[in-house]
Amino acid sequence: MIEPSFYSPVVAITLAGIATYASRALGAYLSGKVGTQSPVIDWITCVTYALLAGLVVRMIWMPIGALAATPDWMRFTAAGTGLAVFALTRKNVGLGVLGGSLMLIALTWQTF
Amino acid sequence: MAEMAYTGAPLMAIVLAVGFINARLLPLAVSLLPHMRRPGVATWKYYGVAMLIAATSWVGTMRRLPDLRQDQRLHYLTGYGLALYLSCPFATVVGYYVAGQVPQPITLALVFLNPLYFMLLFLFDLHNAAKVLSLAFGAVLGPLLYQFAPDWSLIATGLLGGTAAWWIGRSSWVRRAQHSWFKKEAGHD
Repeated sequence: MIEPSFYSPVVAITLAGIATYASRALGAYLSGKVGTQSPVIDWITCVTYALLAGLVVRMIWMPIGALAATPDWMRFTAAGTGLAVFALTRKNVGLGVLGGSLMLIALTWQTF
Repeated sequence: MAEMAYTGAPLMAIVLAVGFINARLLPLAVSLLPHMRRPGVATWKYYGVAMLIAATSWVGTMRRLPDLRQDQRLHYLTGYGLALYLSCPFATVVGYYVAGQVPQPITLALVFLNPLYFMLLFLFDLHNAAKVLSLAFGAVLGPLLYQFAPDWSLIATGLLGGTAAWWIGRSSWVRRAQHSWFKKEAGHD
């Protein structure tokens, strides 16, 4: 076992970077083994959608960092406003994001 | 990772932890890259562009796939992914200095941009029943499984929710319902 004092942050970051890339490289390798028409791709796409949907709900409902200090209802209302603007503007992502952010500013203005 | 290094965790433990946490990037690469594979394109290019695949670039590129020709997709992901990667350190530095200078509500809104943008990208196209089910199952399972196994919850959410959605989406009644709904919508136009 390497003692912590023997490794520099640069080595730790480099190795961690390689570890981060490893799963993508493996993904690139495996992606060459299946075609777009394969049901395996449909399945993995579904897995990815579910995984990322879980992530986005967690980012809104159970955020880390500065947002964690805001009450749930404020984040839900802001997200709901973004959704409503998005739906009413023929799916304009920019306006939806703007609407949701402005709502969060309005809600947090007095208390934060 | 930074916390582990700070508290003096062994190097090997840090590298393994980072590797396992990023196992969630594997399905992203596997599901996106086949859409851009073409004969005659050097293999290393796929490995190179795989480095740019992350949550946002995955959703953003998946959304544009139907509008792009096969030979344009690799370029699209490269440009989109690089734009995200290159703007990230810049935005981090700006954010670091801006955080103390502007009112807290502005800071909060800037932090909230990411999940908001991410959420709306998903909801852009909801024509596919299996995709809608995947998103719904994932949205429910994500926070739920996080209570039991925080480290594995995302992979577990994807595998459980995605497999269930894929299975239901394959069944004949979902296909029939989706088909008739499409016809109805086409009739409106």
